[in-house]
Amino acid sequence: MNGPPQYDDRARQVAESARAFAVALERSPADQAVALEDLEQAGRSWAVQAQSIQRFSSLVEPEEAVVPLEDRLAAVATDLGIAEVLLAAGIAADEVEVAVDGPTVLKSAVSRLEVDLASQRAEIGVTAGFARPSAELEPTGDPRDHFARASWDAVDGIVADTLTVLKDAWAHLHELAPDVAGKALSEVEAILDIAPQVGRLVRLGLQAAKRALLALFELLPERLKAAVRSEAREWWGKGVAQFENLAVERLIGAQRVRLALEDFNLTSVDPERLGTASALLHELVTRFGRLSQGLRRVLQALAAAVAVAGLLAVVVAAVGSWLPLAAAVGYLLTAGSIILLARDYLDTGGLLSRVDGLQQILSGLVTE
Amino acid sequence: MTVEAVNRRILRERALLEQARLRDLSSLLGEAMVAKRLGPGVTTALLQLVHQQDAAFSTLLGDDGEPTWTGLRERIRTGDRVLSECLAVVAGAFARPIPPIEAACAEAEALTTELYALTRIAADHSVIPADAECVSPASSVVRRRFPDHGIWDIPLIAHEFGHLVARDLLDVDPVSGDTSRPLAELLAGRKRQMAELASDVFAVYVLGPAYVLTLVLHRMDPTARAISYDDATHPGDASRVSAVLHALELLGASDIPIRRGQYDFLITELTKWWMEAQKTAPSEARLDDMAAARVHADAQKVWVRLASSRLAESQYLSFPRARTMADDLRNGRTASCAGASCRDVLNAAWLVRFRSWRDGIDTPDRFVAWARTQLIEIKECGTT
Repeated sequence: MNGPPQYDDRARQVAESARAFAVALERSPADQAVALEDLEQAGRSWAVQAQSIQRFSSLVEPEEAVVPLEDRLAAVATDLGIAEVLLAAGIAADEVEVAVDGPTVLKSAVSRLEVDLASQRAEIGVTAGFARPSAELEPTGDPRDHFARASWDAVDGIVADTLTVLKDAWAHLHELAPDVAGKALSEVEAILDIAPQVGRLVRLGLQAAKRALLALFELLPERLKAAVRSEAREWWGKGVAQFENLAVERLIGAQRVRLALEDFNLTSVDPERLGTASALLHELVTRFGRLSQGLRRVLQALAAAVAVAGLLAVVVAAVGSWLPLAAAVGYLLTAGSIILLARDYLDTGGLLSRVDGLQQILSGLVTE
Repeated sequence: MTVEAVNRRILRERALLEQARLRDLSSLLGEAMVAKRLGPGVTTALLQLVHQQDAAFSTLLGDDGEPTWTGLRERIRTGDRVLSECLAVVAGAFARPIPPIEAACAEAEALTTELYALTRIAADHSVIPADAECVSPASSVVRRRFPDHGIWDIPLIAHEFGHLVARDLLDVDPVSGDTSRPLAELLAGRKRQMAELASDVFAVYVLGPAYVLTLVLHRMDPTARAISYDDATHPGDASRVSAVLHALELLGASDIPIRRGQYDFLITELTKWWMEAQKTAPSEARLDDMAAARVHADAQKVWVRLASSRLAESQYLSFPRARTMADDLRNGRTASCAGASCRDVLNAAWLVRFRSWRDGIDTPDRFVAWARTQLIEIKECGTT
């Protein structure tokens, strides 16, 4: 996450306060009360900040948007990580009586959040130029060969990244009851609403989860919501067969791009332009890799939050009925989003136009 | 001339005279002998400050509008603070060569030099005398109270240094280049008292028991309010005592397993002594359980930030060496200071004194003389 320092710091304060609360559980009641108060305050402070950054999320914003999509996805993942921590803290604080070792559940959740926050910081470096040198190096050999390789690699990379996200989403969805996905797709808006009468930490945790799902939902502009649902429904309906490369290629139109690449006549293109185009392709596939990584992180964080919320679902009826549908919505939205993004990056969809995709780079070579 | 016009003229001329004071100050700082005494780092910092104020007066007097009495009052107030700070630094720097002051400042500088080596903060870590220990963010010059309680008060310098650390500690992610200010971010928007508490925790973090002993036994008043009023600059005395004892507990807990309880004897004894001293104190001088838990939680937050920052390796972990030195001194042997730090020396001296009190005997003056000599020798050898 590359948010403003205060944004990072508030997430960090939740992690630190939750860690302090876990330690305080072994100390005096006064220590526990103060640590609990601190954690609630940190949770509320985070909520204010998270709302302000997630409010402006949309997949249709251009690549150079003030808050890049990667950062928004990271914010969603962080919100889910914080949801998990707050729910676990609520369990550890006995807000809901659940037959588990609350402090252990809390410590695991905090560790995950700490690792996630640290890894988000470290990954920004990769996006900020760490991985670029290979693209910026002067290619050796024939620039036509180099460009041909780069374009095939770009298609392969986008297909592979899409497949990975879809597999992850499928694995999580598969753990839910068979009819949940279909139901979730038809009741998306309704199931984002939950406000059970529970303790303050659990309530803050559920709010964070709801906010994250809403942010994921809001990534899709109104005009695309129906399309994504339809994509997700079709994808879900195909079952396990969709995990063959070929099926994903068809789904995102990669096959068409491969045919276009085969037909493309490189001999008439100025070699200098090919160098620039190769660099653009590399940038394109790197960016897609980061987005797919962001979506995978969302999936992981959602699964972890769902696991902890699942402990509550046994005793809080409202959570029990809400959780599977909410989780399904999250997984399906993620799957739908990667499909749309892949089509945009390959220029095979037409629904998004965030980037100049692979085919536009090709046509640029012809028309310039 | 109309009354309004005269009034405007009076206002303008007063503003110009105030600006002239700042320009005189700027000239003073530019004098070769002053600049030489202050050193280039401090001189530049102070000159920048003065120029900022000068520019603010120019804005006030500019063409954009007429100055107002309220605007002038605000400018004079800020300008006076800058003048006061600059003159205090100049006076301190010129007083420094007087032999007893020089000796006291050099001893304190032995510690600031070591803290700079540990933290790489406050590159110009010279110390000047003042009527109270303090540090101004404007000049970053640490002041030692003069006269004070001799070597027993030197640990307080670590607290003042802590203010600079709180402001300047910058963490840079080695992979991403992402930066954060772990302490400044933690303290942002909080009461000034939290900054003082953070400096207390920093002092325990880098110096260990010596700071706790100085603060609790030399400076804290067991009859003072335990919780300060909101507008107070410092937390209440009992709050600070509780915070530093908790920080000492954290320091012990972060050492290797065999040494984790090494400060328990100090914590137990100091707690006992403090409680005894509070027996006749008014009830508002005592900290209740909830208030103590709040102080501990705040101290812990600062500790976590320090321990997860680039200062993770700067904790004071060589107390066994100080203990050996203290044992040697008590047994009349020559304490070996090879490889020792100023922090070891201060801890060894305090340990001898603490044990003497506990055992009901006087602390011989030779310990003080020994510690003062060691501090200077370590500073001159550059050993940390």
